[in-house]
Amino acid sequence: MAAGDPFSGAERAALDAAIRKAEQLSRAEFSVFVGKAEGEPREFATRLHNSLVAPARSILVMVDPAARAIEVVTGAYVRRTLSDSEVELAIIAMQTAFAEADLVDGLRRGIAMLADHARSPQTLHAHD
Amino acid sequence: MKWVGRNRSEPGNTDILPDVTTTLTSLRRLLIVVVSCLWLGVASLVLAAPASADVPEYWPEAGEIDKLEAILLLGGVPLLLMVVISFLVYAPSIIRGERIAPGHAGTENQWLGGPRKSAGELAAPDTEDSQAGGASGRW
Repeated sequence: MAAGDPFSGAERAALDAAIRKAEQLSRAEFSVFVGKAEGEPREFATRLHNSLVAPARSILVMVDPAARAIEVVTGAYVRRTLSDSEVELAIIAMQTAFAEADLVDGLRRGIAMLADHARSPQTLHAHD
Repeated sequence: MKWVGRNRSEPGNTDILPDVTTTLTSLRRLLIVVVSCLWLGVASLVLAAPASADVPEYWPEAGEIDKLEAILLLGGVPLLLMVVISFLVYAPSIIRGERIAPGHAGTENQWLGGPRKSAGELAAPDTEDSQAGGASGRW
């Protein structure tokens, strides 16, 4: 692990795998930013979110370990299936892991929860 | 009350002899230790006498030592070694582009699944009429 890099190679691979799995499950784009938020965390998170390729279909998770801040920004399209209260549940799960200094596990759990809630509800096809 | 054995308080009692013997033995041991220490001290002085002998005549004459040369040798060589060791320690980090200044070992920004943009190139933040949602938290 390089100095200043919060993740080892294995941890980065685990996070990449978690993101891929979440994207397959929810059909939304996931992006995770871990670092220093410049200015107000929420404002910085929305700047990150707006810089993504498809913000409306994206979920951005921003974690500032120094400021102990978590921000999740969901695009307009994603909000149709992922409500803000469901995002709060994922944030609580991440907070619990981060408080135990487990950054990677917290992110994985948070991403998995967000993906689980963001996936479209299965429609039941009633024949006639 | 009946004493078992002889009464120590009786005049002319000879049971005081063992105490006197013990005291004498202790004194003798102390004397032996003191004499031994003295002997060792004298012997070490006598044996160390050759160490203070003059420089042998067949040794070469030591020349005058140049002060500048001495300063360079005693100060310059350790300084040079310090520079070389510091270079060897910091060079790999410098080559990798890592920050080496103390107090700057903060977390590097990591953006998984995001575009390669610096903070200055980011888009504008959301406005009041933004459709985006989400939540915030602290721990």
